[in-house]
Amino acid sequence: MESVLDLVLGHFNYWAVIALLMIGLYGIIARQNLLKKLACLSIFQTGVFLLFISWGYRHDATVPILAEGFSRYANPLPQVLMLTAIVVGVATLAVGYALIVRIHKAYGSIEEDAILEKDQQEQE
Amino acid sequence: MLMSLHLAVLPILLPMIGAPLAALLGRSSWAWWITLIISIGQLLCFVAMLPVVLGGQPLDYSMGGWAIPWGIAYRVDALSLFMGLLIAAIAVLTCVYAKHSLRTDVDHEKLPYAYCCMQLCVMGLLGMVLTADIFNLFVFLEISSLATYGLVSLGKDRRALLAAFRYLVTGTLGATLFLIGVGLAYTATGTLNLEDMAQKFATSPHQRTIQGAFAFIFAGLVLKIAIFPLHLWLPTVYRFAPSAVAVLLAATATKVALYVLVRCQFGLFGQAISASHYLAELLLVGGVLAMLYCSYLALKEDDFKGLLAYSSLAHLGYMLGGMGLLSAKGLSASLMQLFAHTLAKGGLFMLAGIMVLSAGTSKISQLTGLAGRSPLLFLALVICGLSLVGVPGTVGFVGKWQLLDAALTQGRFGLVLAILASSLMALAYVWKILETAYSNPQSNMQLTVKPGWLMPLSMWSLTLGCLYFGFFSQWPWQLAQHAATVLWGSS
Repeated sequence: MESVLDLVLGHFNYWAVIALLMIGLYGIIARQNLLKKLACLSIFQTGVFLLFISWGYRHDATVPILAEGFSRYANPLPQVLMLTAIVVGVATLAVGYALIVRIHKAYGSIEEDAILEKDQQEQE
Repeated sequence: MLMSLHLAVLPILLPMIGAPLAALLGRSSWAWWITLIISIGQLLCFVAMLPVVLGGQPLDYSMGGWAIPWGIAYRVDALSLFMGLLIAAIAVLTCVYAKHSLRTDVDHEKLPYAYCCMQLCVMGLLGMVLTADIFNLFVFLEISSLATYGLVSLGKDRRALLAAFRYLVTGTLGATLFLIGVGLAYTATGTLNLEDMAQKFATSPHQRTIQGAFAFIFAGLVLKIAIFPLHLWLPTVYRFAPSAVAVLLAATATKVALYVLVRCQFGLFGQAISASHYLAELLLVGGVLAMLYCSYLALKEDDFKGLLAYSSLAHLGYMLGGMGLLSAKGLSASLMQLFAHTLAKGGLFMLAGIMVLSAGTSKISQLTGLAGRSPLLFLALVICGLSLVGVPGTVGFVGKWQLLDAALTQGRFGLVLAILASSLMALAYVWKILETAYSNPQSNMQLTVKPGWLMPLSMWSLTLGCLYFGFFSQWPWQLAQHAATVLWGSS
């Protein structure tokens, strides 16, 4: 019992990561609405950010600056990497939203099945 | 000399100046000249690095003067040089081709931005090839992808928008999976430098973490390379993107993702995963399925660009099969195949662009009798098509021959059969186009627009390249072998 509780609570952030990744992945595949697809992509990426930040965390640790009385340091690099990844993610979202705006102008809809249907009608 | 010290980083720096200039100056002719000059400059950088690297010494560059395992490092070895030369050369030719092609495919006021995106895309691709830092590689992967999404969405057909959106979702998913793999590898080793990481993998007690890292990196890259059955985004992207963009993507983008896979699988993870023979089987089976099924789809396709796209997917199967042989010989055959396919498919996509422009259609069934109107265009189609099939005298033959040789010496007869069957199917789909084009010369199919001289010029350079390297295949083959042995030595 003890070990199960440890597994669940001790790795709480990793469970959250798994949940976020799966919610995101499911949404990307299952949603027809392009906005929701993009939102789920963002959730998926957020899961990865959280994963990296969890890797970088150490209990009771400080920033890596040499000072008296401190011996446990946390590695700041995973967080720095995630700053870059967040910037990349924001840029991706911006391009995605711009595309959705243009899709809406061209098709009058942002539901994927409706768009495909319109394409099919056009071909016939 | 100052310049030669910075050669490794110049191909990245040049477009960082050129791309904003092209966008800000706002005149499409200036933007074209800037792009052309920058891409020629990049090519010259790689040519200048050729003698140093072939001398046996990889060229190292530490960004900002930080010592190598700490700072971001760039490293040019034979494999990077091989890919870099290929990409830079294709970029120059695409730029020459784009002047007339983009003007007809893209609205006039968007042209400077299109050239800006083209430079950024090439910068990202070259960055992936040059860098020796795995996180830096991820950033360049995203830079080139973002530029590509923008370029694809410039297509006149509104279906290009949905194609670009789907590409964005799939591409970002792939890159994010790659990022998880990078993170796992970092937690196991505490370094991001590729060479340092490879050394630490060997002694690391966390072998399970390392295998997990490779699994994520593999899954992410397979999405990016568009290996069957994860290829669904690719055909629509190639079909609806502007012709010049399709050329750039078909000739370089998926190949660079393949390069990253080669680099990671052999250079980085080599020993940690060589114990698992599942990987070899996975690559072989995946390659064979891609070859057969995608060739079949190409046979059924009636759209010229769609057919070429499926044929690209089938040819990625050859390269994957060569990698799956897990030998230096198989890998160098894969690289040679990559070289051959870049030339032939680049030429064919350029030709498709000219055809769409001048005949106003890309439906193969509507090309009846077109060969009589422009015999030279279809001569080029015959040459590139034969190279795709792998007929002796073309560069495609050299690639396939080496691959068959490697498969035979290792007793992989299934792969041999699949290569032969897929080549026969390639012959059939190339024949399908030619048969329509050469039949019924009395048809009243008209060529409405003249393509100018820049588009045929770049197309013919690639077409003649197919022939030239078919007879003088020495140097690309030597470079490919050199690259394969470098990777084999390090693993």
